[in-house]
Amino acid sequence: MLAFKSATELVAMLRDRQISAAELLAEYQARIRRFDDKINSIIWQEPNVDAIVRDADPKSRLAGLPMTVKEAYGLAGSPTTWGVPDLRNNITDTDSVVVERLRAAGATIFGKSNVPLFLGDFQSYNDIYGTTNNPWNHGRTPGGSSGGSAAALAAGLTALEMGSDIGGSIRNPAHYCGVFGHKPTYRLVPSRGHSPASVLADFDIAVVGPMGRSAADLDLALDIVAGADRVDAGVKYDLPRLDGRTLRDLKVAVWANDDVSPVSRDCESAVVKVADTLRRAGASVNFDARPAFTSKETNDIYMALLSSALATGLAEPIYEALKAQAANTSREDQSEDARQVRAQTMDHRSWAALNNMREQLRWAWRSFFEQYDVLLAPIASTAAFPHDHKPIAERRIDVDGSPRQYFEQLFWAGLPGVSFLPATAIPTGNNAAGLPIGIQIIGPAYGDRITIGVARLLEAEGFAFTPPPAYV
Amino acid sequence: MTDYTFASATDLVRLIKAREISSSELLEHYFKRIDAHNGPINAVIAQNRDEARKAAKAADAALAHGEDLGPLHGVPMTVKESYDVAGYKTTWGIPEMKDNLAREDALSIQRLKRAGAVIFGKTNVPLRLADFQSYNDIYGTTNNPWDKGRTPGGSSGGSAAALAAGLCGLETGSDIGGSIRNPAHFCGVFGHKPTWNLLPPRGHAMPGVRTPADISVIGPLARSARDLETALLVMAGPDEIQSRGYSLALPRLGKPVSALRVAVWSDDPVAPVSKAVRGRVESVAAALRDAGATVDDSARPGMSSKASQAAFQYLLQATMSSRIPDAEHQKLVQAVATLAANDTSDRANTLRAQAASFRDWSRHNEARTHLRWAWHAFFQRYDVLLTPIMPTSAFPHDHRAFGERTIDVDGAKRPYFEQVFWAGLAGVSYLPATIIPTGPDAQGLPIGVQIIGPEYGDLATIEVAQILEQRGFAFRSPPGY
Repeated sequence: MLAFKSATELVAMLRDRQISAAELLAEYQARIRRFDDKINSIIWQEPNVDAIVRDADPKSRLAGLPMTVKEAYGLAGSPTTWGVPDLRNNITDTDSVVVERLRAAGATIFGKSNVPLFLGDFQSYNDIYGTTNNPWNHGRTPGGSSGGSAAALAAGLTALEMGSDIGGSIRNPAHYCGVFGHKPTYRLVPSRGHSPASVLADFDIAVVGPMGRSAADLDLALDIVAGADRVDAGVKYDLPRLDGRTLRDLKVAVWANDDVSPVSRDCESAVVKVADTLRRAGASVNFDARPAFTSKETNDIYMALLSSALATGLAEPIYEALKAQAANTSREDQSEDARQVRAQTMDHRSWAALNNMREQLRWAWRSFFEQYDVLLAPIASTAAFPHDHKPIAERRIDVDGSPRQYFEQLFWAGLPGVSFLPATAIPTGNNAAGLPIGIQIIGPAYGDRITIGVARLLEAEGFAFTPPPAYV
Repeated sequence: MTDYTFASATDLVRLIKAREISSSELLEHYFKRIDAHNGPINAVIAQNRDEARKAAKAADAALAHGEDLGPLHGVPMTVKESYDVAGYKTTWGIPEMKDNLAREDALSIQRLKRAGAVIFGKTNVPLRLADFQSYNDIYGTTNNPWDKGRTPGGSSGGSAAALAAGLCGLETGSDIGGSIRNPAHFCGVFGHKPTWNLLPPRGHAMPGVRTPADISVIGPLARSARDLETALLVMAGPDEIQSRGYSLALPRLGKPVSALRVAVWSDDPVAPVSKAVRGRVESVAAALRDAGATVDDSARPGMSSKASQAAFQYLLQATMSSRIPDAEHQKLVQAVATLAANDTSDRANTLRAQAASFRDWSRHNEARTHLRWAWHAFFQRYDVLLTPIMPTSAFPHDHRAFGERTIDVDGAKRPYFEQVFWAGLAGVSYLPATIIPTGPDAQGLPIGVQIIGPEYGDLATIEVAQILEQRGFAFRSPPGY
């Protein structure tokens, strides 16, 4: 079915003039009218799209491909609010670097997809645009913060998407909706313009990256958006590829579960299923291989760096209140709340010490990836969970009957995130409840083409996108 | 033999490869010079002559077998004390670190050795590398070979003094607030502060520290601009942690001097410079103009001097304070608590920066990023910018408390740290900057000029330095050496 074809296939059709960009756009527009009121994934559409698609060049790299991007990207003429009601009228007047590069490559960007407030949730709802539902089950979340992106892809409402990720925001929606997503190596893709204000500095851990219905689409999009920003000219990326290596040549490490963040049986067995496929194909697979640090160490460093980075964006009164709270917490108090508030208000000196601990993690990963090509791991503790708009502190994740802290599962996002590593999310099929389960393929820094390459090989083995039946 | 004393590293390699002199002979020559001249200036503070002799012998043997070790084949050199070199102590002048023996070479040292350099010693620094002078309780004071009553600068003061006195063939230093550049200026040698993170600093750090420090860079000092390029390219390029998919594509100047667009910023109210220093910036500009370059004296980036200085001071203090012991830092935090909210004195601002929250640091990092983009726009219109590096030539030794020190700029007393503005202009925005010598002033003290370029424009600023070197802005040896 046309709407569910991969971007790679669609670009080929556009180039061969089997279809025009305008016709393909009309198809997605019709599907949005028909289906999107149920899922609410595309929350803004380009008013000038007719003029844009008319100018589409079938000989360009993306040949006029109609696509959408996450609301958080600057796109001239569109609202960029991050779901923050005060920014409702924040109309961007310039394109972000990613949008600029996609347009230059011939994309027809026709809309934007939904996000949670401040991009800070595993769900995607806010007071401006409302709630996005999972196309596989409307009572459940599509994930977040790139929830609109994943839902629109899964429902066949767009050809390609661009998300962003600091705590799994590309990967968990890909997992919950059964699509592909790639969290690039930190700073490989410039994030300039992916912000509501005119922020220019890089945000720690945060990256922007592609999502699609095929692993090949991730390669296609990454090729266009990756590369140093103008101010960094002088750095050239030349990402290593599999270069003809097949599954049987791979050395694969597997980290299917962990006490720091236990995952459900279906999430764990999805990782094992992929590992078994690799082993049957002749790959060397090691279930015990771990980098030279503990799960708790990487998680503590990640959570502290994440908290301190996110606190830089808090309003002054909120930050001052946290400072007061931190001052009233005893140094011995090691509760999660106490640690978080200390991290949010830490001084630069402590941050520098923590950053140095992260550097040690990066070097440990470097040694690890001397021995293994990729590491397979879960992305979240469970499949998509039912909408839960309670205060975050009251939310729990039901992991095979055991209620776990909502943000505990950030561990799996942070594992590559804090160490700047690339990670590709792939679908592995659905669980007994009919919900998709994804896993992540983690690689060494700048090994983006390797993790996507492995995803492509696995896609050929059947770990591929399937559309939700109600949307076909 | 004396002919070779002040030769450039480039010439030394050529002479070695032409077998006009061997690496071993050259090494012994520098040993003799150190024995004769180092005592009064105290620039070279550690040597391992036996190891160096072995390395020089190996370089000579390799040549005898027709083997080329690389662009620094057999060049005897010293390095700043702050680099880890296996078998040497790394102390940064801190008495508690006096027994800190390095077990492995810094990455840059590995690269220099792999390129054929023969490292035979280390040169002096100030305590924690934090001064425009180079003295400490472990190694004592380094004197300027042009006038022993004056400082050679700092923190790479030993590096510049050793080069100027002809005690080594090449040097490598480090710079967070001009530490490569002010010694080059004070001693009349060339120095290059690279684009931030272009040369991985791993191994130029206190034990256990692996993260590259903000603003801080490592980079070469030499007696010729050409040497800077050679040493830079040897030490540049991603560390192993990044090398899988990341390489450098450094642009060259790519145009003749007649097509150069040169901006000139010869003085500023934020850090006024002496007439003599301003005059040298102007004479370098005039030389380029005479060669056909377009010179613009009023061109400025889209930022105020104050904005650059404020961002630099804040980010510098925040980074420097992450190096001091906990107890000392605790005192700073307590001092900040006693400050009045409306106190905007330099002392108050410095204390606040030293005790910065990560949140406040991030704000200043954002401000810095805006500066970087303003420079990016500026360097679309200009190839290089000429500026002073310090307000005066080398000043007399001054070991009083920092707060009591002042700099005499044509009779006016200015605060000691005000002058860091000219270093910070390039430093805080990660820009490359090359120092060239312009000859001694009326007092017989060298004056240098800074050539700033766009991020990753390192080869371009060095190329402009080479052009100027050919036009007479070249190294001269101090009288008596």
